[in-house]
Amino acid sequence: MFTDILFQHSLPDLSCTQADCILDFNFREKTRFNSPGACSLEYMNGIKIIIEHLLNWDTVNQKSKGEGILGTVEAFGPAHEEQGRKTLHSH
Amino acid sequence: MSFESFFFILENISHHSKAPKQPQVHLHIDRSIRAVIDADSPHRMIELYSGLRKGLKTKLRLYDQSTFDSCDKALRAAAAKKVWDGKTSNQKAARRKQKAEQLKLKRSSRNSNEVSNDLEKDRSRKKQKPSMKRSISVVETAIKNSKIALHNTKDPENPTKHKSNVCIVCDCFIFSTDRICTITKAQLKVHRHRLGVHEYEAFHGVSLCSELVRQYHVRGCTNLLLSPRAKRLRQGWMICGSCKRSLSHEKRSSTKPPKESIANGFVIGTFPSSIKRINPISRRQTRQDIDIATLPSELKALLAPVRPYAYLFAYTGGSHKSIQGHVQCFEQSQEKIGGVVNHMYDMGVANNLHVMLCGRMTPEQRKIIRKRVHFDTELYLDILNYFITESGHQAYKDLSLPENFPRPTFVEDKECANNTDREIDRDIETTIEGGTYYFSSAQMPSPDKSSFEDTAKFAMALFTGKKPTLLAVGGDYANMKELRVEDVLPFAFPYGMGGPGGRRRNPISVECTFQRIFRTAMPQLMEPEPVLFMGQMYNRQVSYRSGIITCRSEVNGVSLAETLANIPSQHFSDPNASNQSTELLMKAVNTSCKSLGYTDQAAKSARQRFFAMMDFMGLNSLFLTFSPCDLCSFRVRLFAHPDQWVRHLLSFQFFSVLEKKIMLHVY
Repeated sequence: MFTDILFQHSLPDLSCTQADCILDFNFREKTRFNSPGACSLEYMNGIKIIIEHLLNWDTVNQKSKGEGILGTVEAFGPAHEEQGRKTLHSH
Repeated sequence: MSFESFFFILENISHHSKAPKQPQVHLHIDRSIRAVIDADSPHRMIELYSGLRKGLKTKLRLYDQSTFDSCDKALRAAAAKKVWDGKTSNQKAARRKQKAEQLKLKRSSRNSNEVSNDLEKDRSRKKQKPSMKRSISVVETAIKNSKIALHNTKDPENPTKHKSNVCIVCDCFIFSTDRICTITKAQLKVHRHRLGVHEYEAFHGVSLCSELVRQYHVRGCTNLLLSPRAKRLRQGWMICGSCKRSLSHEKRSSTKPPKESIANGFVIGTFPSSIKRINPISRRQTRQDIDIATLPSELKALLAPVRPYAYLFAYTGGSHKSIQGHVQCFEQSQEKIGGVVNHMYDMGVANNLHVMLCGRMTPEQRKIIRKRVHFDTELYLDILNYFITESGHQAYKDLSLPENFPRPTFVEDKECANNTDREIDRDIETTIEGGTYYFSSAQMPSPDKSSFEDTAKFAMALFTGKKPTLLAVGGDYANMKELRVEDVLPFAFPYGMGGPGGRRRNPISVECTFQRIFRTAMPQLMEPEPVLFMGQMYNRQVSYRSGIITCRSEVNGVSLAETLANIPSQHFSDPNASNQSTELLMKAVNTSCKSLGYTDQAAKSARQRFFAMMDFMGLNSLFLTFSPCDLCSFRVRLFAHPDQWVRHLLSFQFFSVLEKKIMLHVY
């Protein structure tokens, strides 16, 4: 049981030391390099939340459900990109 | 002025339509007048009337200002009485009728997706004065909903723990915005004939090994193909909306499993954590623990029974730089390589795996790279032995263990002052950042010829419905169509099944298969190599599916219809047979297809769409950028390791940094 807990992942902690922070960063870096598929899924998850909850856009019927954080959206066009660092982002 | 006279005036105005200059405007005013007359309270009437005054003046100038003022006064007097003695019942009925009509209209417009109606509604909504109080509440609600969606991976009993949401039936991730349902053990057992192991084996004609069945076993549901990565809630196991609908009580008599379920040909499995090891001298069998995440890509490439692409691993480094690399995959013919292999032996280059050390490097970096690609011979043989004897992978069937261990060929310059750097920051310089995978651009589907060699071949494939091969271009190389993804990526599909091809009890398209595999909650499918290879295959399919043929209306003075009518169907069925009529037609046609997402053509197409949207909707008023930092987000780990709980551990004070480093290394 103890070994099971030992090898779990960690959440970032605001009160952690610098060494812990760097270690945590290295670990996340390793995960990111080994699993690009996971990064793209996380990006997709984030985009879905933004479109459906923050913009309040109905993706099935392709129209606004009402007011979102930017008011009532009439239309939008996302451009999904990746650049030198190979991290996905959209404008 | 009495109400009767007021209504009379309004009715008079309403019916006064002497050759209107703008009929639409007048129609609108008439409707507004009718609304004033039919209003069910004086307050509502005043409200509507105040908006109507301007319209009345526009419509006709029969009545002077005093008439309107007296109308206004009469209405206000009626409103002050707070008692409405007008045609209440009739007007209420009219109001109800009007509302019903509006609702009907709204429904019909929703059903028919009339863009113009929606736009009108949106514009009218936009014209309303925004209330600051409401806006703040809207923003707060939106943020609250987003947070709820984002944190739905949290453990309800321990909020510091997170785990990805996985469907028990299809083993796919359930995204934050998707509906999460639950299903009980009893409900699952009702569909045993659809999700069972025996039914799967009977349909596919295979026998699933015990290890594979164990990997898809959920406690209490014996002999059912279910995902153990799914979370168990109080109400039952987590299931996605699609599978839940498919496993409804009404569909219990169906024999087909849900489309994306594991039982519908998606039994993939993971490489076991321990494999059999045979001592080469004593021939004694033991078990050896193995972690495929730590195996180098070079070893994985060597172990693949089919390598449609030649691998080139290139490493770069230097002072203050960590070791980086890229892997290039070139199309190659295994047959040709087999043919010249003896000649290659004589020449001393008997390998098709090359490792290049490029540019300046520190001596330590050279050592690390050499060590990385000097594989453990016993480990190689043990894994190969596992694939041959235990996994039941079809591609390793009847394969014998090789006597000689294949080693990669190093391509490097002699170490000298010009290519060697001094070691400065050891920590950074000895870090391996991993590789970036590339295909040569020649194999990329292009917008004019898709994944075919030229436009004519693409057009002929569209005419005959011949799909492109899943992996390589094919070209002159033989039988690329028979290539299975499971053979190319044995570590992603360790049991040689679950790939995009093959028969399924509930048939789905190849594109949907790829989409489903990309969402599968398995760590090995998140790695760079499967993502690149299957992404390439998916692109080839999408590119072909979106193909369009355009043709000149006349070919050499003969109309297109006449030309097509004169070509017998046999000429299309055998595309290799050259004939004058089809050649002539091919010269007159142009083909095009959707460009791939990451190419320049796709950017051009996106720009065109954006300008079209601006043309239609007007200039955009906001520009928003969304850029999540993968390196700082713990959430990537939820997708990378769907079977584990993400929790706070490393800040425990009783562990030293060194101990934590060791823990991470072991992990």
